[in-house]
Amino acid sequence: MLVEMDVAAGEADEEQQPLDVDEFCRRAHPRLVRTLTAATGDVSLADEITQEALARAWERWDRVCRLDQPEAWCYRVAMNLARSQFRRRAAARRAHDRMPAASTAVDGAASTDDELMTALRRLPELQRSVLALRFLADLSVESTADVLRMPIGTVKSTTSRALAELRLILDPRPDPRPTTEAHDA
Amino acid sequence: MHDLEDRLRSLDLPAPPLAPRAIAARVERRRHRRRILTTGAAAVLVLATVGSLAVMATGDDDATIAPASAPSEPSPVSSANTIPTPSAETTAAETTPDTTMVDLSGEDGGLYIDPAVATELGLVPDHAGDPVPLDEPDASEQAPFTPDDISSDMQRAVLARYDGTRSLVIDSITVNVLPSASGLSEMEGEIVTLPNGFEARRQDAWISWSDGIHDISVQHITSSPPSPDASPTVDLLAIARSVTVDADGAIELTTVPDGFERLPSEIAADGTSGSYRSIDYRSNSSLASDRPELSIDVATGAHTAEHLLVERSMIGPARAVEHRGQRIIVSHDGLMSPRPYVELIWDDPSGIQVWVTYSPMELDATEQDREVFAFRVVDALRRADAANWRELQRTADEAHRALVDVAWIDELLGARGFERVGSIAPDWEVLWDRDGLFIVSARSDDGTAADCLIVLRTDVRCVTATDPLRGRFATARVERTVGGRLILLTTPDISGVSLQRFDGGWGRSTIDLSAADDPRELRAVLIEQPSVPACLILSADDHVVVTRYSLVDGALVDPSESCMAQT
Repeated sequence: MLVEMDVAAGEADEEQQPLDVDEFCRRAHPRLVRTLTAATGDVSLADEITQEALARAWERWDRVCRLDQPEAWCYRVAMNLARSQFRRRAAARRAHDRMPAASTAVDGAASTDDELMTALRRLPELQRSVLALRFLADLSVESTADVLRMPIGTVKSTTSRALAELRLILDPRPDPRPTTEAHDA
Repeated sequence: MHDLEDRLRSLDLPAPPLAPRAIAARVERRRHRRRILTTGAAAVLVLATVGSLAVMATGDDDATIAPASAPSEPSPVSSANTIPTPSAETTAAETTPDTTMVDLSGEDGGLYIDPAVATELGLVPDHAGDPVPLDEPDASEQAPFTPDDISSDMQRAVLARYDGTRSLVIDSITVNVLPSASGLSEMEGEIVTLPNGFEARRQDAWISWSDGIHDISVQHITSSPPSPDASPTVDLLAIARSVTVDADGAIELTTVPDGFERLPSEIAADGTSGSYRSIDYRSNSSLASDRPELSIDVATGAHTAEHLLVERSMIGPARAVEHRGQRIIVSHDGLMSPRPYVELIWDDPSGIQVWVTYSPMELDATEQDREVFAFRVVDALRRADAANWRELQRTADEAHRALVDVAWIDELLGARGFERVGSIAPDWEVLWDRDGLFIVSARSDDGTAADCLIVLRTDVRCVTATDPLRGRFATARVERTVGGRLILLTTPDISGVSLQRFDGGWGRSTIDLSAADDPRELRAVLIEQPSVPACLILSADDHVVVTRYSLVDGALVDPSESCMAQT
């Protein structure tokens, strides 16, 4: 499991020296931000959530550094933050204080595939999150399930639906539903 | 399909650079404010499929919409029905012979509500969790109160000043000590020299320095909203002079400012270990996938309740009351939650810390209503043993399965001559935050296709393809529902909805409808009905404004000049 660790032994793997927390944050930050940007559709929000997740890792570094995948732990924390409605409301108010201009890009630079990014934003939040973890963060199905705390089967089915939905958005087809004569319900 | 997967993998998104020591500084800020700092574009909230949009109202008849970030008006100390004296009973309920709290000592187990009282209050258990050890790395993501501000690397001393009744915290002073590598001593500010020769940096309410081993900061925070008794400033330099830190980071203060007292150790006796357990209750008429209306959380080894009072007071109204000989922290919130809630916290003599959080579905419940209800629950708490808890878990699982069973949707539609023919939004597999609105594809008895909205489990509205949604208002329609909410219906070209006061002040936020898990020709969202007229702004992709309305008394009217002026 993602967070499985031998706490009782209290010893780090001899072959793996624990990372310096500062170095870990520097390395993990860009990957986390990109994944969260895909999941949330908002680079500023993604950056803030990433920094918050890394701050929590910092505070618990003596334990987090001994996990098999410290970065995956950060993904879980970040995803929890991203989908927390409480925190988003506070975030919007603080953002309104500090950054009144809406921005979804950094330094005016857009993603390399604006069409895909626009299509991603039209997906439901869960589907976006799954796609971001599976393909941008390159997590396995099992790790994605662990991060989002859902069954593996749900990750698979959600991935499949999300890709199908994304394909439909990128390549629209005529509505197959028959036209019916309707009246007020 | 693989082409699309490859395309996703190669999606190159910009990542803003991480400023040096940004994370360390954030750690310090968290510990000062205990607030989760997330940010976003000013006009965008990323929500689940449906959400609620709140425009804060002060409750006064002639009040304008209060800033969404401002705390609700505090209960003044002189208010007869809110701030009791330390010896007064707190509940408005009839007097009972019982004058002491229920004994919650016992076997290892969580708390539950006496079943007879739960039935009387209309509550059913919805989820009873297994204990979560507080020293698990991600325990803070499950428990609302882990010592996440406390780590083996950090020490903190808190000084608090109370009002005369000792019910309210006027202001507090916090001394934080972190390892020297945190870089906090390099923060900006006026440079001052301490008597011991250390160079400190000072801002209005904050001073920090390094002693070569630790980074030390002292911060003065006034309660929110500020008490008239609050001192405008505290001599932080004098406090800094009185701080000594030993090699282990333990903090000593040779002097304490007048009126302040140092709180005992922040963590309970064995605070670095312990466990957390919770149980959730819903009302009998609750929704399938909404957040619970009542939660009871229990922890051992957590922060002391007194520290939580100080913390809560700094970010919103909070007070301590005496209830049957027990000092209980009471705080209300309606700013960070779509549903206002009351929170009761205390350190029980049995050694556990208890949190009772009540957030009713009905939005028109007053603060006093919530408090009365929550204290009824407090008086009906019982301590479970292992066998009790397993039974509670079984009961909760059964109740929850019954709640998510979609048969009730079929019954509602059938009673109105409709048959469900498609999926239900939102997705039932993962229970995200919802606000009681489901969209179902249906077909009437004569074969007419319709999208049916089901609100709060009772309100059913079916919209067909030629619905007069496209009548006078080209893109939106508002319909009333119960409990102070409105249903806003829009066409799928609308991707964002925001509410704003006429003067453009606080209250504006946007729901991102483009994330709706619904391919149908309809979008719907629940809105809390604002108490004053507001501008309703509908936008399309990239925040292009499509149209504006004035929302007056729950109805859409032609926009006023004030609305047209809003961007």
